[in-house]
Amino acid sequence: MSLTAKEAFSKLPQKLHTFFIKYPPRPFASYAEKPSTINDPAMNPFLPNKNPETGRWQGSKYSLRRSADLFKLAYKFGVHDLLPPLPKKFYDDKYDNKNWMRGVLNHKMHKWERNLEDKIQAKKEAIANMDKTIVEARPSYKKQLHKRQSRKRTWW
Amino acid sequence: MSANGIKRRLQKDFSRLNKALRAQETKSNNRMVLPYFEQDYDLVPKHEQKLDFTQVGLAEGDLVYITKGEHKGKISTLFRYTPEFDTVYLSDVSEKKVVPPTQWFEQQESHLIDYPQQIPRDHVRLAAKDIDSAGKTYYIVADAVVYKDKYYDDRYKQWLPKRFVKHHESIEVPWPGPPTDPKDGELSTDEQVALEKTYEVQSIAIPPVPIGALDQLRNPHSKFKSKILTELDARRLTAPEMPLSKEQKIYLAKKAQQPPTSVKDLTEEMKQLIGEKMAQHLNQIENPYMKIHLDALSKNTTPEFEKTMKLIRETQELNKAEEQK
Repeated sequence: MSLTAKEAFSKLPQKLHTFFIKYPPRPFASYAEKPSTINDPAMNPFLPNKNPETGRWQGSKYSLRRSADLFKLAYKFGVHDLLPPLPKKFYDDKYDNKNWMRGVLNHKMHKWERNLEDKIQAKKEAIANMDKTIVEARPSYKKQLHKRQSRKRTWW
Repeated sequence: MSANGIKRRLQKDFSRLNKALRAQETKSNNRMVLPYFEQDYDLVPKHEQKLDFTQVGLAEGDLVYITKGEHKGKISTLFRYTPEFDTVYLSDVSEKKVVPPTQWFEQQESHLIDYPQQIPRDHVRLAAKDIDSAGKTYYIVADAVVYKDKYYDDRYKQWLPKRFVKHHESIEVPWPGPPTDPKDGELSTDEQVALEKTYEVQSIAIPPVPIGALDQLRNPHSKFKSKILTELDARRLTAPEMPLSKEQKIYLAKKAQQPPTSVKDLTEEMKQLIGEKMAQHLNQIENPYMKIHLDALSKNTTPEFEKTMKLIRETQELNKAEEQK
């Protein structure tokens, strides 16, 4: 059984109804995404706003807890898009657009872990060039190299 | 903590030291004392001291037999027990002590005086005197004593256990009379007067004071009993109202000038939009439990909603009245 718009509206919880009376739904009224002044017609009730006369900040009309309650209730009835922009993220949005910490994205690791790759590379190079290094330090090693060369097994 | 408390904490407390340290401390103290006034006996910690004579097993006035030391074999009367050192003073057992001339009492002619000697409790046994059938006095000494039964001792004015010689329990050693009989002072009340009972409640069903006499005992017109406050009392009990400050007055005047808050209900377009969105969402839901949950949520009522709707109705009526004018 599909509901008509009027039938559906009758199911709107009183909490949301009261809120929409005070702050009409989005396309009929615009709301600032950032804190503004209390005289601003586009003042967002979920954000703190400044009193230009006194220069003091007024806390948000709805606390984070109350705003979260409203959003979650509106989400269940599919009207969360009509609320003014909220300072918090919810559900999928919260995880998809998460501002990850630098340390979580890139693990710093221990110093030896960071240098391990270079170290292995340097070791490999040193093993490959071992004969050259020994000859430089001890020229008599050349004879030993020649001997080894001559004794090498050939296919015949 | 008070200064006195801090002082006491820093002071050396003998009873807190263990036995070895106590001995060491006594030794160092004795170095500064004349040899005749040395402290020979170990101090008994406070929690181990026997303060009741039934715990000690000896009362003042008891005969005791000395089992050790230079006075071994003597029978004497106990005249004092000191719980601090667990020692006894006996009437016939004394020692010579040297007293400096500054501390001499009147008519003293020698440096040496007889001073009662402290004897440890362990070196003393309870003794008793009796007369045999031939009329000869003899003594018995109890190595140990057992307590049996209880009786009310009128001399001590308390319940006391009966004392028997251990393993010879037919021999009872009665407690001696208290050392000093209490004497009447200036302010003391006569025993007969103190014990006299002039009135006794016979039944709780009948009140001790006749109801008609209560008004004579109590003040029926007491102001603390009247439940109506006088004007003066009422004025005294109510706090004066705080006068408003200048700023508060200005703020209230400004607020009074502002038009009353008018609230408008959602327009039809808004209702349509919200309804469409909701219908689109709700029609997609298939889970029956979710539907029940949402139904329950939509049925929730809030007092705030009622207030807002009331305000809307009032503003509508006001507007209508203005239009009619």
